[in-house]
Amino acid sequence: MESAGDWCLIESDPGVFTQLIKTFGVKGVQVEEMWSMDEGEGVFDNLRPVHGLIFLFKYLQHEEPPHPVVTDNRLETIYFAKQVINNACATQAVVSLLLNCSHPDVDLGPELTKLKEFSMSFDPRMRGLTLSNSQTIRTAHNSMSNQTLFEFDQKAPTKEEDAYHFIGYIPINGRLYELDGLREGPIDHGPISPGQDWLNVVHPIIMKRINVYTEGEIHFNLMALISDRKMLYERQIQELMRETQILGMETDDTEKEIRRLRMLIEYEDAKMLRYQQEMARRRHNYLPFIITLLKILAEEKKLLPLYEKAKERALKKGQKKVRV
Amino acid sequence: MSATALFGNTSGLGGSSGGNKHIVEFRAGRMTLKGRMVHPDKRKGLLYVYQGEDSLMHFCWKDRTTGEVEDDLLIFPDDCEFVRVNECTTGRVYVLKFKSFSKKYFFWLQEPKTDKDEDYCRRINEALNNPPTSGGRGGSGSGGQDGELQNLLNNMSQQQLMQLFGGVGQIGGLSSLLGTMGNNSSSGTTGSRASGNSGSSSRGGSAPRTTSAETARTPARPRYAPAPTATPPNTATAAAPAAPGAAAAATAAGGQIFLSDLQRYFSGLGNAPPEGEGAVSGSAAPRVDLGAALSAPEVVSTASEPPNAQRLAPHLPPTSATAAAQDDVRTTLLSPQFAQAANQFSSALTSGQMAPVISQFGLPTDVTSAANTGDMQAFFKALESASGSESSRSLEGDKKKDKPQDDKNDKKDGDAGMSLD
Repeated sequence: MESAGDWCLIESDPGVFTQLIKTFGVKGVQVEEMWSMDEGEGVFDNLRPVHGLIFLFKYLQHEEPPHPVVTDNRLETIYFAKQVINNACATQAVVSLLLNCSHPDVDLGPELTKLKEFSMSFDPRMRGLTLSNSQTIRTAHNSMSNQTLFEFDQKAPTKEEDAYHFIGYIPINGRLYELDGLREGPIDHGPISPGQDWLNVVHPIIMKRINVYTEGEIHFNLMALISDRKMLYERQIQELMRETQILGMETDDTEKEIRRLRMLIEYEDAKMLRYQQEMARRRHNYLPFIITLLKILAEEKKLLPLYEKAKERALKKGQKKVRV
Repeated sequence: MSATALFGNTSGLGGSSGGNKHIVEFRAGRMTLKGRMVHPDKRKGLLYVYQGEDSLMHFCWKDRTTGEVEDDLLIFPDDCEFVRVNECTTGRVYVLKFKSFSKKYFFWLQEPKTDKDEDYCRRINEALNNPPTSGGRGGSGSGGQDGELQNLLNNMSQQQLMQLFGGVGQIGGLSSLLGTMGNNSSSGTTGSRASGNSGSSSRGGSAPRTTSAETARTPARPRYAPAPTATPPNTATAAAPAAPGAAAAATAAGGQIFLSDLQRYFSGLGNAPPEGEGAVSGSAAPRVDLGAALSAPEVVSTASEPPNAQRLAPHLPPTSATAAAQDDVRTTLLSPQFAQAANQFSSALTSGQMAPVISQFGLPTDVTSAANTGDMQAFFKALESASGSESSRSLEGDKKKDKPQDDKNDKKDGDAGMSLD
């Protein structure tokens, strides 16, 4: 968990991303984390439709793009924005995916629609600037970040900081593209044949990347931009209800199915509640809590013993590090 | 390329050194490394070392024709050495090497006579590795530490003293001075990080010169470095004639003043005389993160006791109202978000920047001044003694009734509690 703070300004957590998207005013989508890709394309089964994938990894410099970078007039239809500021990379990856999303489930909402219309005619760099200057996006992004108790330079001393980077994979007009704000343009990963699921095309590409990173013990993180689960389940329930109305009778199967869907909805609701709680914790100012806690511990004379123990641990850790 | 050009010169007097006297200077040209060969830069140059207002040592090279200072490196003691490159037979080539990273700076001497070469070299090393303010570091005997501190204080300007004791705003005061004292190799790592921060990666181990506020902050880092006692012995003794270890008698750490020593010294000013705790003396306190410490079982159980949980309840994050207060204290303590906040708190505390914040919580001045030192232990101690003396007596009584509840967890901590009763 500690490394999360080092990744980006905001945590790469599905809850954070889901709420970020909602704060933009986008409806009909959520973000889920993919824990493993080992079971083949089957990993996407519970997530379909998947609109895009967000891949987070440690940034290695001077990696040549494995595929051609698009510089032609496709840029007029693909929304590609260059990354202008670092800390916004996660947000930018999500926004780039959203702005290229044409699925009917996805409702961009007024803010992002406006932004897209406004900057579509710009070149990638100007688009990047537009994104980073958007009040809405910045406010949403910043509201996701952890409460910093104090404005002081606390990151630098911990360790050499790794640069993490977010990129997006998305199908656009029958081809698979990689959107990486540090490139000159979108990377074209080739065609998706008609009728072929784009996830089957992207899977080996992601697997290859993951294997490289796993060998190098590099942190990575994969998240999927998917349709709002609850919305899908509710839609399915409605459909089932309509069917039963038409048929005039309710079968055991449909009843069971509806019950199952209701449970899934409850599960989604609970998840959203959890996200909100986590967000409340993230934004909370813990200082009064910490001070009160320290006072309590001091009153019970448990503070110094605690410190001694913590110091011992730190010393042990420190010695190990030095020996290397 | 030039740091000075980037950041501007903070004090315009007398060239780059801002009116500060050059401790050593001689004519030398730069050399650039191309592949595995070094090539001389034909320009006439001047190499010099001076001590900035902030007590940090600057290693500079300037173009004698244009007067432009092209290298201005902040050097931390015992981080580098200036040595002759004997492999070069066609000229007098010297190299500035750092211990903490691989970047090397080559120079060729342009002094017409060779007789002083060795002397310049020696003086450069001495100036860089044994900055004047730390005075008689080589001084012997057990009094070494105090003497050194005395020396340090004597050498400070009034402004520096204000910074040191003021705490507010000029946080880096104490630490910048410490940066100039024997912080061994830890200061080296500091340097490289500092340069990374300011965005000039080519600078390696020395922070480019920036505004004084900036430089004042950078040397604060050594305290996060692992305990200097554990670092290997100085490998380049030749580079540091008055190498640490001369005063080794004083402490196991080699007679240098470490941050913790000084911090304890200052915390002692506002407090009862520091108790000689064998475990601590002689080694710099390691970085202690409270994140893990405050989520330990004994803390959770203490905090979850009803009266304590009640006190904590108003400060909990506004999560669901359904759970009982106790549960929330527990979840909060165990949440990663709290751990992060607690770690931040410990970093802030050890940086000595917390006092103004702490003072807002109506804590006694003893506690606040302890917070000011950046010594977590001193802060905790002050907190304990402050709470021991007053109202907590009655609370302590209450606790006794609750004792059975957390007896298990209390066993280890019991001694400390008892001995103070």
